[in-house]
Amino acid sequence: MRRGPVRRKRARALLSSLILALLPICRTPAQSVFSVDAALGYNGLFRRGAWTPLQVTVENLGATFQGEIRVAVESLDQPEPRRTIYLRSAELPRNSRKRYPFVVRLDDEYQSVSVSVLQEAGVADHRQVDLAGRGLDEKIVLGLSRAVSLDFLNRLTIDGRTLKAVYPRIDLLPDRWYAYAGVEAVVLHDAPLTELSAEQIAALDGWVSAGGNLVIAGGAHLSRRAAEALGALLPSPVGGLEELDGFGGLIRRFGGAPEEDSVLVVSRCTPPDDALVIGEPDAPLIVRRRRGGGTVAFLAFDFSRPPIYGWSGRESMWRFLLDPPGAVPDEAAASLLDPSDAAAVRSVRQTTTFVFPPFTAALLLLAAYPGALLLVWMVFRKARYRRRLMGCGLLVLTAAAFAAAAGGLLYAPVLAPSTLAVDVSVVQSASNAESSLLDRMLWLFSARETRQTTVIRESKVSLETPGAETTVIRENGSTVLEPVSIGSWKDQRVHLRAVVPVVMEGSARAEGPRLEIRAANTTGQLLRGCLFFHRGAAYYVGDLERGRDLSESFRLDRAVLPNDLDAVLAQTPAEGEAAAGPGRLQRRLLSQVQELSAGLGPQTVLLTGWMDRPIFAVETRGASTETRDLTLLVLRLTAHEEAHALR
Amino acid sequence: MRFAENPLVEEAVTHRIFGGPAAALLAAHLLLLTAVILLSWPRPAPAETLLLGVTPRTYRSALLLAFLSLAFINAFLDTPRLRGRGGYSHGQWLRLSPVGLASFFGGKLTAMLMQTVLLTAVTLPLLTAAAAVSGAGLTDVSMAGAAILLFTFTYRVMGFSLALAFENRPLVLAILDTAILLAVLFGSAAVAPASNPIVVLAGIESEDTLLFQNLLLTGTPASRLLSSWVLHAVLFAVFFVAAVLYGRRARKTQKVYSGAGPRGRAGTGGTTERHSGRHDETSA
Repeated sequence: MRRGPVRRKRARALLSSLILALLPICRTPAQSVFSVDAALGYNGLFRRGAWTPLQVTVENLGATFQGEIRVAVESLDQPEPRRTIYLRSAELPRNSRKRYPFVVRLDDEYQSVSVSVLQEAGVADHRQVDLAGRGLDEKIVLGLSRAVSLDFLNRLTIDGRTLKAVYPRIDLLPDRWYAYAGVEAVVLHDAPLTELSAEQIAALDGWVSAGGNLVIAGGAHLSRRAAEALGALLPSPVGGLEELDGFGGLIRRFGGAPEEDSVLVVSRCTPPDDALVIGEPDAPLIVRRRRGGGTVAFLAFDFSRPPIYGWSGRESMWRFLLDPPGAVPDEAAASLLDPSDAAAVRSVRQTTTFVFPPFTAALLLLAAYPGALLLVWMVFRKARYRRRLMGCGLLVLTAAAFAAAAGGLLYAPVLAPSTLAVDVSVVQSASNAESSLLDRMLWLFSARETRQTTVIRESKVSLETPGAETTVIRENGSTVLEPVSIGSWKDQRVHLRAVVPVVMEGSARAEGPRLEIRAANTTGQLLRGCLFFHRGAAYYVGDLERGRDLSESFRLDRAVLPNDLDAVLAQTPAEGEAAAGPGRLQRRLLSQVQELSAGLGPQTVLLTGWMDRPIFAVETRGASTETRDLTLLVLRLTAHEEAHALR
Repeated sequence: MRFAENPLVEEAVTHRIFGGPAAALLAAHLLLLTAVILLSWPRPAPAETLLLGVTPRTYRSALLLAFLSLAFINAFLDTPRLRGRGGYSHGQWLRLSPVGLASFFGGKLTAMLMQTVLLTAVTLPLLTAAAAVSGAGLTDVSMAGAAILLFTFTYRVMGFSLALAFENRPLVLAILDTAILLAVLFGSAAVAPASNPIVVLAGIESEDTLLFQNLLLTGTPASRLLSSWVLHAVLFAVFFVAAVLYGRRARKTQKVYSGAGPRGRAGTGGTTERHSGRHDETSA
């Protein structure tokens, strides 16, 4: 019996089955089972120096995957490349696709952004995001619209910067409020608003609360369901449609000539009492209302259709809509690495109301003035030369008296010491500790030049930097901050703000009914009467000694009299100048921080504390009683879902 | 008060400031300014406007209107039509009177300055009211007042200089006055924008960088004012020197002293006898 052929057959079969078994193993490393796609910013565009959404879509064609998605942002043009890595855990079943939203900070186009899918064995897939030509310096206006209805805004300039209308896909809108940091305004117009997720609406709401500017257009396209989807974001309830003959209210406010026989279809709305209304009382056309630190404007009409479309006052109206009160200068936003800090500044700079005399008083004064001049003229009209000469002097004296009266009547509310107020906020976050003092101070100066920031007349502002290792510009023993002064209410509208190198680090985590806070006082100063604010509630911490780490847990339902700061402040130790208790201005500042905190999301905790040695000393009009040390630290402690680390 | 004894000052007080078209013009100027301020008064009330973040335009409107109005009034005050009936023409003072050149120009400058100061002073209360409700500070008003005074005094000197040369040709005088004033007020915006008085005045309190472009509004308001004052100082010097040269020439070509003109001591700073409107019918 010949056994050779049988053995060879068996050997061939064994070899074939071995090769067949090994084939998939050999194929796996050669062909990826992942497909990664990254949608950057808003339609691929981003605002330089701002937080930007990055939607990473991962498709898994292989077995169930468990790992991480990593986004790495590297600065390439610096001597020491800086790298920020954002990590998210990911789990993808077999043959599935999932979108992972990230919010990354992009300073410019000279950065490298890469998205990687990580598993235990290493990098499963990798994709580079192209930034070339995508960075914008313009103010971005997001238009959620089916049509290209906002392109006319590209011709407009606000604060010396042009606008850029971008139309993102509604499903790619971020679900984090601070992802809108690079956006000037969001305009909702003729978009399928019912497709917005609850998270997306909450993000929009959070952004508005932190100072965003939302414009919602009504008209025929705004369905009842869409209005319901927006919920509390709408500044007023919206009803059915009606036709108006013309739009005189808009023309009176913004100018421009109306078209003949112009019929405007508007959504009926009933504005609340605290809203700014433009239009007729029974037919409001624009309703603008504050929401937290920002504003929401409702246009009762469709701005993309006649007669508004061809109306010559349209640009003026949009300037009004896109330049809301209290907007932080872009320089400020750019100088702060964290959008919540910008929001802090934005909110803190809210100011008081001055009570001016009624219009009739001014009217009487202005009417009496020509009368007085006429009287003097009549008396001296036919007098001899010398008396006429005296009459000339008397005319000038009359004018001077009325100038003093007008000044006394109308400037008194502004210049009275009791109403003089300077809010100084010192803002520092954990993430921007590495920024140089110089840069921040330069921002302050440049902002002053554009008169956006501060003019505090007849006051001295001095700046000291406690325990700072950073370069400080000094001139004759003080900083180059020049004495500035307050002379009118407009000057008081914006307040002095600066960022000083008070380096503090911290984090906060809410777990069930408890809030855990960790913070390290690296200011080199004793912080007195520290308070944490979380969603409008105050938690008293007490003194925080220099170099001491604080790790405390608070029950969220045990806030110390959340609506009564006075009781909280009363717990400040009575020792030293700072311990003498915060003054009226500080109390107001604290209550503003509290308001700000109420408007911010649950992820943000603010810390305030008083330094023993004042950072800012403001002497107002030489009145020693008004001398205050307005020292306040606003620290943002955050725990984002993404692991956010500097490497 | 030696200046009070100057016949030209006396004539200005008697005939120009307290009577004639100048007083009517002043009244019209004040009424117009008051009307503009009341019409542009911020609504809603200033405090609410502040909260809305809208800067009222009351002050800027009033300031620009006051400046333009005073600029034209000052430039045209020496034209024969606005000078009124009383007093003498420049030609009569130069050719027929014994008043010396130094006395003539000194008196004329003093009288013009008095009138410009008066015009500016009576405008200031209205500007103060407008500034207070528009959020402009008192410093802004003071700077604006000083700027208006200096600018409009320059235009007054310009008007006087032209009136001296073209007194007998009112149409040419009006055209020249208008053309030069328009060139200074508006034409300079194209050539030397940083020195343009309107841009500079608006920039004293302006936050609207769009309107005037960043390059026009660099530096502090005071430094911007200074650059415009330099332009006006040059204009002042040019027109005043031209007026003096013309006056000297007119004196040299003086043929006959008829004794019919205003009396006074030639070459002195004052007169010994006061004259009055009795000489109204005197012709050159």
